[in-house]
Amino acid sequence: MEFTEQFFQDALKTDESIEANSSILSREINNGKITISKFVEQIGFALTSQSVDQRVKGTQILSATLTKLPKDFLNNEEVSFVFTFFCDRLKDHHNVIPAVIDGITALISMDNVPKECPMQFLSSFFQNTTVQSQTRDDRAKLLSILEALTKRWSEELKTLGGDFVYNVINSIDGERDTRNVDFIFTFMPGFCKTFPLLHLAEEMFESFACYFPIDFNPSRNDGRVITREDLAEKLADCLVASEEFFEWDVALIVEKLESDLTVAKVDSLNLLSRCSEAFSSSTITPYFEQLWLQLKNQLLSGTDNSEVMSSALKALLKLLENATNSTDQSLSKSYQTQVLGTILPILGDANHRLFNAASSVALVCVSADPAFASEKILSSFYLILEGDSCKTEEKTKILAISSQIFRICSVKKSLKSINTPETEKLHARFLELLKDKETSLSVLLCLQECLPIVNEDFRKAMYSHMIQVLTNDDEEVDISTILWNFAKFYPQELHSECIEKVLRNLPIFQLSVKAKIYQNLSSLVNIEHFEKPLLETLLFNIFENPSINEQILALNALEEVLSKSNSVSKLDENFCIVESILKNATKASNVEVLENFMKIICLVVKNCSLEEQIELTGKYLPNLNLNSTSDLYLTKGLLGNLHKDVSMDEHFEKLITDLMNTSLKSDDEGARKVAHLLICSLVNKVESKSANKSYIRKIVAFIKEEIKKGDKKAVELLSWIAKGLLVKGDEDAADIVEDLAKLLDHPTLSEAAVLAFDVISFEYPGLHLPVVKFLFKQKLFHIVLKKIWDKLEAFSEHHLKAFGYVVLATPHSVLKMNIEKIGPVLFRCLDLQDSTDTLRNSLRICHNFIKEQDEYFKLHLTHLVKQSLKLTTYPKSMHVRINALELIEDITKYPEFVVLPLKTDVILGLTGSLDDKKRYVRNAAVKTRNTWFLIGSLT
Amino acid sequence: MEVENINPSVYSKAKQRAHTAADDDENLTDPFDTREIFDLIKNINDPEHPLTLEQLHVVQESLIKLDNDQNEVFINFTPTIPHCSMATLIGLSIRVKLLRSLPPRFKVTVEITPGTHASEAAVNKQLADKERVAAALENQNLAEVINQCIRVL
Repeated sequence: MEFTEQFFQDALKTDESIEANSSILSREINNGKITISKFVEQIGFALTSQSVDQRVKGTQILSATLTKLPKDFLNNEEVSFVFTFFCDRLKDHHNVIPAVIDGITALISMDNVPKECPMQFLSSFFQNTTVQSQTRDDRAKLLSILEALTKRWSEELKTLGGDFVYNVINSIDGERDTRNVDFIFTFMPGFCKTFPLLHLAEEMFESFACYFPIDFNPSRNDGRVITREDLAEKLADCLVASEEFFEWDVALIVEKLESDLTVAKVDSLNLLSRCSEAFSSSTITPYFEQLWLQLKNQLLSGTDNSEVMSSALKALLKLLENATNSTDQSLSKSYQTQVLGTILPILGDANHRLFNAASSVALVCVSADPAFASEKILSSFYLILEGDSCKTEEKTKILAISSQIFRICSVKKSLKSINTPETEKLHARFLELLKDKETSLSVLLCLQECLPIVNEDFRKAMYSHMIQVLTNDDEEVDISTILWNFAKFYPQELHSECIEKVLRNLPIFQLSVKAKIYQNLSSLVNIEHFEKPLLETLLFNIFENPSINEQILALNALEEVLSKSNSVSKLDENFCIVESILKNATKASNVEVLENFMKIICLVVKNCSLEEQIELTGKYLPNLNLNSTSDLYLTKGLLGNLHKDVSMDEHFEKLITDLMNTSLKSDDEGARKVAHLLICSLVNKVESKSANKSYIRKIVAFIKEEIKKGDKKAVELLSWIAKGLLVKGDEDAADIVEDLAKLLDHPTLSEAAVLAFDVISFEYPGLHLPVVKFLFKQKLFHIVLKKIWDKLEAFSEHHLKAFGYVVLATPHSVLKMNIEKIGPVLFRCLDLQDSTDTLRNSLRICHNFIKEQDEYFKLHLTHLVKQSLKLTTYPKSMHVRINALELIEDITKYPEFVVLPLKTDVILGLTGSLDDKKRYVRNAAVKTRNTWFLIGSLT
Repeated sequence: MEVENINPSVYSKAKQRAHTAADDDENLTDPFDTREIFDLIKNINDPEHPLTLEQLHVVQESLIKLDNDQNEVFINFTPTIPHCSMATLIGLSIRVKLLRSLPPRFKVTVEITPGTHASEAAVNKQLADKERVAAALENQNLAEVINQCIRVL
C-alpha cells in the first residue's frame, strides 16, 4: 500500500475512516512498511493546517495509531520524538487537547519511555491548561494519566517537589463528577503516602475535607453502581492518608459531630475509628481528652439513635485499642482512667437514666484493656453489692453486666489477669445472691462465663444449687448452656457432683421434673463423659420402666438427644438403639410408644451414610412382619427416610402386597395411615424399571376392581399411590388422577374421592418423598384442571371441593396465570356453605390475590365483598369468619377510589361481627371495621 | 402548637392477653370483659406525644367498668396534667373508637377520673352530649385529628 498524501486526506474525512485507517497504519508501522517519523511527516499537512478541524483530525489519527501499536515497538528516541510533539500541541486550540490526551495515555504505557518525558509533559500541561477545564471523560483520562505517572515515575516526580503536589491538588480540587471523585479517592491515599506533602498538607486535606460527609444519592439508572457507603469509606481512606492530617481531622470530627444529621455524626465517628487505626498513639494522645469529651456527648446524651451509638462505641473502642497497642504501657491506663472516671459514678446507680449507655461504654473499656478496666469496674460493683440499699433489680443488672465482662475477658484470654483476691471476694458476694430465688439464675449465668477462675468451694455451691434447680417442681428453667459450660471445663467434677446425683435419684421424681431434667441434660450427649450415663438412663427407662408415660417421656428425650447429637450413627453403634428397639417392640402395645419408636429409628436412619443405610435395612428388614402392627411402625421408621439410591427392588413386591393388605383390611386408622405413608414413599422411591412399573400397574388395576365393589378404603389407597407417582413425575399418574376425578360423580364414593384430592395435594410433615420432579405441583394443577374442567364450569359441588384442595397446593404464580379461568370457580367455592375446608381454602387463595391488589379481583370487588360479608357470620367455624374479616381488611389496600364506594356497605355489614360470640372474631372485626372507617378520611 | 406537658411519665405496656383453650372452643361464648375494652382503647395515640394512652396511664384497665348483661360500659380516663387542654380531644377519641368498635347494644359513658382535671365537669358534660359528639365528627378538621389519634400505626 502506498501512503500518499491522498491516502491521508481520505483517511481524515470522518471519525470512522480515522478509526479504520489507524488500524491499517499501526499494522503497517509494525510491519516496517512505514516509520513513525515518516508517518508524522506525511500527515504534517493536517497537523500544521490552519483549520482547527484538520489539526484535531490529524492528532486523532496519530493518537489512535499509537494506541494500537504494540507496547514494546517504539524505542526511546521515537517515544521522545512523539512526546515532544504532543507537548507542543498542548499549546494548541482546546479542541485539540482531547486527542493529545489519548496520545499521551498511549505513550505512557509504552515500555521504552525516557524518564524526562513525563516531566516534560507535566510541566507543559500545567503551564498551558488545567484538568478541571476539560470535559468529564477527559478529566477521567487525565486523572488516570496522573495516577499512572505517579506510580511509574514516583522517584523522578519527587524531585519536582512542592510544585508537583500543588499542581495535583489543583487538578483534583473541585471535581464534581461522582465517578471521577470515586477514582480520586481511590488513588490519592497512595499518592499522599508516597509524596512528601511539605507545606501543602493542609491544602491537600482541605481538598478532601470539602466532600465530608458525603452527600450523594445514586440515581437508579446509573449502570456502574457507586454507593454512598463506598464513597464515604474511600473518603475516610484519603482523610487518614497522612499522619499530618490528624490535627485537622480532629477539627473536622468535632465540627461535624455538632450537626443534627445522623449521617454526619456517623461518618465523623467512623472517621475517628479510622484515625485510631491509622495513626500512632503519640499523634493521638494530645487530642484524647478533647475527643473523649466529644464521644461522651454522643454516648451519654440519652439518645436512642442506635446507629450513632454503635458508631460511637466502635470509635471509642478503636481509640482505646490504639493506646493498648502502643509501646507506652501507662498510656492505656491514663485513657481508661479518664473514661472510667466518667462512667463509674453512673454505674453506681442502676436506676440512673444513663445506666444502659454507661454499661455499654464499660464493656468497650473491658474489650480494649480487659485486665485494667474489669478490675476497676468489678470492684465498684462489689461496693454497690455491699451497700444495704441495693435492690433486686439492680443486682440482676449488675450480674448481667458482670457476666458480659467475664465473657469478654475469657474471649480475650485474660481471665487469669483478673484472678485476684478482689474477684474472689466478688464471687463470694455473688454466691450469697444464689440463695435469693430472683437472682439465683443470673448468678449461675454470670459465673458460668468465668468458670476457670471460680474456686472449688464456690463451684460446689453452684453444683448443689443446680441440682436444686433441676429437681424442684415449681419452675421451668433452662440451664443447659450452664451445664454445657461446666462440662467443658470440669467434666469429671460436674459428673460426680451433679449429674450422677440427679440421675441416681431420677426414679423418685415426678414426671414433670424428669422432663425438665431430660430437657436440660440432652445437649450434654456430645461430651464424651456424659454419653454413657445419659443414654443408659434413657434406654433403661424406655425398655425397663413399666409405666407407659415414663417410656414416652424417655423416648421423647432420646429423640431430643439424637437430634442434638453430632454422631448419631456412632451412638447407635455403641448403644444398639435400633437393635434394642426392634427386639423390644413386640412387647409394646401403646400406639404413642410405637410412633416414638418409629421416629427414633427414622432419626437414626436419616443420619446414616448410604452404606450404613443399606447395611441396616439388609440386617433388619427380612425379620419384620408387616402384618403385625408393631412391625409396621418399625418398618416405616426403617424405610421412611431412606436415601433414594438404596435399592428396594428386592423387597418391593412383598412390601407393597403386605401394606395394601393392611390398608384395605385393617380397621386400625393409625396403622392404615402409617401403611399409606410408607406405600407412598416406596412407590415414589422405587426405580422406574419396567418390572416395577408393570407391578404397580397390576396393583392399580386390582385396586380399581376393589373400587368398583364400592370400597372407600381402596379410593384412599389409590390416592396415596397417585401422590407418590405424581411427585416423581411418572406418566401413569395422570391416568390415576383421571380415575379419581371420575369418582367425584359416584353416588357413594364421591366424598372419599374429594378427600383423595386432599391427600394428593397436601404436604404431610412425616412423609419422605426422595424423588421429586421439577414443577410437579404445576403439573398436578393442569392435569386436574383438564380432567374436571367441564364439571367445574357446571359448578358441580364435589368437583369444586376437590379443586379447592388442589388450588391450595398450587403455587401462586401458576394461579395468577390462570386467574381468568379459575376466578369464577373460586367465587363459586365461596358459596359452598356446608364445607368449612373448601371455604377456608378459597378464602385463603382470594386473600393472597387481594394482598397484591390483583386486577381481576379489583373488577369483582363488589361481589367478593358481598360474599365475604356473608361469611363473617358463618356459624360453623370461627376460622372462616376470621379469614373472611382479614380478607375484607386487606381490600382497603386497593386505591381509595376503588374501595370508597363500598365503605358504607362494609361498615354496616360488619356491625354484627362486633358482637360475635368468639373474642378472636371480634378482635378481627374491630381491626377491619376501624380500617374501613379511615378510608377517605385521612389526607 | 406548644406542647403543654413536655416531659410526661412513661409507663410500660401491659403484656399481650394470654391465649386460653376456651378461646379456640367453637361452642363456648367469650363474654366481653374489661380487658377487652381496655385493649380497644389502649393503643389510641396521645395528641401531643408519640406515645399511647396506655403508656401515659391516661387509660387503665382498673378504671373501666363493664356490665355485659345491662349493656353498659363506663370508662374513666386520667389526663396527665390537671390543665390539659387535650382532655376533651382524648375523651372524644375514646368515644369514637368505642363507637366504631363495640356492638351498638352498649351504652358507653366516658368521664374524667374524679379530681384529676381542672374543668372536669365541663368536659364530662361535653362528652356525654350525643349531639355535640356527632357535631364534632361533622367538623372535617376535628374528625381528621381524631382519626389520626385512633389509627393503629
